[in-house]
Parts: sequence; C-alpha cells; structure tokens
Amino acid sequence: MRKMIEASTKEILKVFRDTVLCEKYTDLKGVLQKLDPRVKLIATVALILTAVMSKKIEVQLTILMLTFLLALISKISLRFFIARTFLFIPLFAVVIASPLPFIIEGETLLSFRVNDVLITVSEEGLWEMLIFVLRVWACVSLSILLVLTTRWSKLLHGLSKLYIPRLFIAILNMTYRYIYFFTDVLYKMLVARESRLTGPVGFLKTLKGGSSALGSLFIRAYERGERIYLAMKSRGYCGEIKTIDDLEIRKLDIVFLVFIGAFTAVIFII
Amino acid sequence: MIEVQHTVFELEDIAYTYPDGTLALKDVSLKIYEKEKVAILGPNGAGKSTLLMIMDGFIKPSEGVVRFYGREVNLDDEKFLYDMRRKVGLVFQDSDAALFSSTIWEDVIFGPLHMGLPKEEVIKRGEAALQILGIEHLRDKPPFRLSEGEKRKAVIASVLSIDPEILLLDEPLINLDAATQTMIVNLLNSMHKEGKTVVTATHDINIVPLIADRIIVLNKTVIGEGSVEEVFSNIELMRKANLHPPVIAELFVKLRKRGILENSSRIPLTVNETVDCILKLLGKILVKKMKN
Repeated sequence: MRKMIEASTKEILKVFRDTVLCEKYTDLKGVLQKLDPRVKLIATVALILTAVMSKKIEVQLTILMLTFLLALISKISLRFFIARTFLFIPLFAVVIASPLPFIIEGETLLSFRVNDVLITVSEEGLWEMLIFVLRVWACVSLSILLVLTTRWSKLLHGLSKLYIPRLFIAILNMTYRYIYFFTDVLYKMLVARESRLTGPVGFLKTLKGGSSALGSLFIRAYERGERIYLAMKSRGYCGEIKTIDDLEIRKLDIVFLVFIGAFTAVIFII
Repeated sequence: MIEVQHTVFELEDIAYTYPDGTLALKDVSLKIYEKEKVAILGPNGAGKSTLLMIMDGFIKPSEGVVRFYGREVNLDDEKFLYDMRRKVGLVFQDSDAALFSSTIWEDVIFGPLHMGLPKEEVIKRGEAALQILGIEHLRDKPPFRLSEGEKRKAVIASVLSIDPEILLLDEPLINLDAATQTMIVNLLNSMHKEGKTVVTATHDINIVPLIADRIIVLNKTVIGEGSVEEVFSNIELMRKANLHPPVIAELFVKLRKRGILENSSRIPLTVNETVDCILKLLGKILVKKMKN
C-alpha cells in the first residue's frame, strides 16, 4: 500500500511536470507559439464546442487530425503528443463508454447468454462508443495543445483580456504557482516518513499516517496562504489583481482565426 | 549644520501573544531613525519576524503602540496602511510566499502596478530592479524553477521596484552561498548610501557588522542596544541573548582582559580591521622589544 501511494505520488508529480508545468515547448519557434493567447483560447473553445455538438465520427476524426497537424507545425513530437493525449483520459473514456454497445439498440453484431440472460452488442452502440472516445480525445488534445504552446502567464493574461473574472484568474494563478510546491512537499513528507520506518506497516496504520500527512499539508497550505496574502498586501494589493497590457494581435493571428472560423463552418455544413 | 534625525518607527511597550498562548514579545520599546542601518539581533524564536510584521502593520500588538513618522499605526485605517507600505518595503524570509506570481517579471512589477503607476514607469522600474539584482535572465521563469539564491534576489527585486524609503528585511542572507551573500550585503549598503533606512532582522552575528551601525538585541524583549562594537564587546549581553559572540570580538575582549590590548582600543569587527589591529599590536611589541 505504501509503495502504491509513493509510486502514485511520484507519477502524479511527473505528469504535472511533464504536461501542466512543462514549458519546454512554449519557447520553440512553432506556429502556435507565435500566436496571441486570446486567439488560441478562442480557437480552442470553438473547436471543442464543434466536437461536443457534433455526432458525426468524421467531425471528431477531422478535429483530431487537425490537432496532430497543429502539434507538428508547432514542433511538438507527435509520438509524445499522442501518448500524452491518449493515455489516461481517453482510455478512461473507453471504460466509461463501454456499456454503450450493450445498452443502445440497433443491428446486433454479437450476442451471447450469461446465466439465461441474453446480452447483445449493437453496431450503433459501438459507433456511439467510438464517437464518444474520439470526442474526448479531440477535446483533450486541443486543451493539451493550448497548454503546451502557451506560457501559463500568457494564458492567464489572455483570459483576463477575454473578460473572465479576475478573481477566477487569480485563483488559477495561485493554483498553478503552488501546485508544484505542495506536491513536492507531500512527496518529501512521504519520503521522510519512509526513511523512519524500520519494519512493515499494516494497511490501517498506513492509512492513518497518510490522513495525518494530508491534514498537516492542509494546515501548511492554509498558513502559506496567509503569508502569501500578507506578501501581496505588503506590495500594494488591495483586493484587485492588476495586469500589464502587452498583448498584440498580428497578421498571423487574424489568418489563423479566419482559418479556424472557416474550418468549423465547413465542418458544420458537411 | 545639525541634521535632524527623524524617527521613522517608534515602538512603545509592545507586547504580543500568539493565538495558541505562546508569548512572542513583551515590553518592547525601540526607535528606528531615518537613514540608519540597524540590525535586530536575536536567536530563533526571539520574536524578530513578529516584530517586523507589527512594524509594517500586519499584526496588531496585544499591548503598546507603534508609530510611523509620529503617527499611530492603526490596522483599521487602510488608507494610512497603503500609504505607509509605499514607503516601507518588507522582504519576507519565506521566498516561496513572497513570489506568488507565475513569472519573476510579474512578481517584480506587482508592486509598482498596484501603486497605480503608468505602464511605462512600471516597466522601467521592473527592468531597473532586475538589472540591479543581475537577474534579467530569470524574467520569464516561474518561481518554482529557481534556486534559493535566485528566489531571494527575486524577492528583493520585487520590493526594490516599489522604491521604498525604508527596507525591513527578515533574515535576508539565510541559506545563501557566500557570493550571493556578498552581493546582497553590497546592495544593502549601496541602498543605505542612497539614503534608505535599512532594518535587518537576523540571528547571524557574522553579517551584522557588514550591514548595521547599530544593534538592537531582542529575545522576546529588548535586552540591549548600542553600536556594533558596544554590543559585541558585551559578552554577557550576548550570552543573555543566547547568542555566541563573534569569534573575532570574543578573542579581542579576552586580549583586552589580559592587558595585551588597551582598554581604549577599539574591538575589531571584521577580518580587515583584525589584520590592522594585529599589525599595530605587533608593531608595538617590536618597538617595546627594541627599546629593551
């Protein structure tokens, strides 16, 4: 149990470092990296809405192919991108959608009996499952592409220019800033505990130890929150987060927006 | 012409107890004057950080009064506190709490931005602060990617961009390598030469002679104060404060007791002063031997 918790924590930390907190792709000279964050946000939302509203498999596949193409022209390794986007969330979607072939009525592809109960797998159900998984994969790909090609600070700046409430952005900012810090603290707490274990520990004791560690982490987070607030106040914060306006819309941004607009329009027509 | 020294901070009978009942400070009375370099010296748990927070209007003392340029610091008077914080820059000991933005640049311009300065002035101050600390290359980096020394420089830069008249520093050199310490000490001294008041809370006696002309010894209450030489020569005071006197000072106090160093001679506080003092002593011994 202990090893599972430690391994899980390490893996979560690694995922954060590799995806959410990794800014190694944001500095590359790719196409998406050059775009204004507002343009990328609008394009991402437009494509996600298109994927969500469409029930056609061709639409999901087209959007997915578009994300792969955009990843390529943004100098992101396709192998890394596909592995990062498909593993976990879309796989989880497969599990979530797995009952669909059994519950949606349609042309029977397969049927069998289990304890006198007839179970059928329908073609329509399979297509629905596939469409669902592809839709999830497309949406996840679009989100991850946005995060990989945009500095977090620029992303938040873009959101603030799109009239997203500043308080929400301030909370997102703090979450981003300190999530790495606190996962690191949690990891060190687990390692410190591990270093003082001299024999096997039962499951209940491990659970108790884990819950007290989480409680301690919560208290640390609360106290740090207080110190952060004081640090902000000491530098003039009085309830409203202000930002400096340094974003510029250029020709490439307009071209990209027009392309995405045309793309989504064509998809809807078809 | 006599220069009038204004009192920046005046603390009168300050006491503070933490919510859990732990006594932090008791009967603390002190003054901080304009344009001076002061060290608040004390061991761990002496209440140094709490004292700085009380001075900057973040903690309301259980007893006593804090005055800033003669005016009582009232935690309910937000306008007064904002005006005070334009003049007072507090450098927190906890770098991770003080760097709360997603990049160093955003942290450095946070202060001038929230002072309502125009965009050009904000950018100018931000760039100047980064340049002073030599951290322009860290501008776009998130704080969690920085080393402790880099974070500390970033924290100082984020306070310098406000251009405060008074700097309150809580253990500014802790956990830093020698080169970074030297750099920050030189920076603080240059800030002082420009007319800023520099107040440093620390337990590190070795850096005190480098960054202060006056010491206030604190161990939940003020147990002594004076010039650096006066305090460091007072071995009993240092022991009372649970502090080990600087090796150099302790050595020369013992030499003085043995009559090797004259009572009127100044106790050296730095290595350079020690070398000068030893050379003078050797010179005197040689002259004495030649006469004999």
